[in-house]
Amino acid sequence: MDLLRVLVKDIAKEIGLFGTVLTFRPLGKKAKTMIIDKIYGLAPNVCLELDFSGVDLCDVSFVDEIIIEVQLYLRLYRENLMFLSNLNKDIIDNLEAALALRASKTSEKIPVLYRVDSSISYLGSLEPNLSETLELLIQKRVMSARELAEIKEIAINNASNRLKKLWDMNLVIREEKIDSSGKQHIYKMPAVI
Amino acid sequence: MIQLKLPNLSDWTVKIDGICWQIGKLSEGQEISLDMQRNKFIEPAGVLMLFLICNQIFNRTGKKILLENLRLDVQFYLDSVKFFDHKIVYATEGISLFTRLTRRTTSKSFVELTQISTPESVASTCENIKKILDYWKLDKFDKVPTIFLELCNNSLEHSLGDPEQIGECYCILQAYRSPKGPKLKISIGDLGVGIRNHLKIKHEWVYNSDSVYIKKVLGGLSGRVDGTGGMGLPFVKNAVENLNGMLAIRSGQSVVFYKNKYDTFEFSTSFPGTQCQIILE
Repeated sequence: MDLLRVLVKDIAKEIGLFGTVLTFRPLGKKAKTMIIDKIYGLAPNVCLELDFSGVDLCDVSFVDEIIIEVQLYLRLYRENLMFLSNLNKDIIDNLEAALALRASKTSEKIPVLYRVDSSISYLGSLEPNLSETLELLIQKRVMSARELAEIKEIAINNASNRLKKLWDMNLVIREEKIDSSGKQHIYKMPAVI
Repeated sequence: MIQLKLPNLSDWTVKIDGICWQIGKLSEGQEISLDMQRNKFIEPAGVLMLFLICNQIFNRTGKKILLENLRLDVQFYLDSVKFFDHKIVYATEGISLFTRLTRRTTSKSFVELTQISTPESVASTCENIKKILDYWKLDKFDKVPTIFLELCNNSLEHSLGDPEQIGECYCILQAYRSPKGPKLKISIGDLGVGIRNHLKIKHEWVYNSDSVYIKKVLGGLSGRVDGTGGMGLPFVKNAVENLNGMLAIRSGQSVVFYKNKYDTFEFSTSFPGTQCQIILE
């Protein structure tokens, strides 16, 4: 299995929210726990899609729990990439507000991938060099540190650090490749996105 | 029957110390009337305060409260927002049957005075607000549904001072047409523990004035022991500021107004719970 797709509306029904508006931080915490339970036991590199189809609005506190806290959990404990799909403008605005409020309180950057139509982008903030690297990897889909170093004309150590930081943030997946030049990591944007 | 004189409740800069003190002296079985003479006009913020005052009196006396010296237009407005449907208050002269029958049963310009006691009712009332905003084509007020969610949820989660229990609040919203363009007024409030007691769950510092505690929550401080939270009120403050609107929060003995800068009013007597009003235009 390459992808675990979770319909947020289904999770909401299980916690007692049957409409199109998802609200209340304690319910967000329950939803977060349910999502994390689904992730538990996933093999590395399997992607998690949080699909917001049918959801019109989530308040800032709710998205903080079901998106940002889940992303943090993945960062700490899992080698799985999460992306969001079928977000409307109101949910995107509230997620951006939650990310900004988090950053102002904790100085922590917690960017999150999301898909709009067939293109991928991210919400939250990234240092310029990491943002540039992520955009490049989204475009090329597969990249090694050597390739990045050649394209951006930077030292290979620098290229390797950039890609590893993106991997540490669960924004890309990576696979190990052993060839004539030795062991190296290949960084990828999953095909399922 | 004991008559208590009410100040203008729509103006939150006006002292309500007298009425608070008098309510504290009431006992079970006493019949109370409220003199509404000074409320020549009533807005959502005034409706909320009137209701919460009536609620407090009813909780102490167990008797319905009579509103006296009601101007007809004020009474009509209270009837329109279903104020008297809450059954703890009445007026001597009711609205005529003809007027009631011809009154629209649902309004596209306001959310009537509504009790909110579950997350589901927060969500469903929010959906009504979205319909009103769509009807009035108020795209620039697109943050209002989230503002509403955050303020109501604060009351539900924190007003009882116990994370295991869900509190309740009351809300009212009105959209207006004015010469300058559309205007939106929202008021939400509870009779819970107040902001000072919420913060003291986690923080031990002591300040004389409730306004300091109000400003701290507007700055993102939370009384949650698990370290989460503290996002709702900063979001509300930022959203209202971006719309060049006005936010007012009453808790304890203070009212804090925020319109690009803070303005605070301190009173002698504490009013229970936390109440908010927002004006957007």
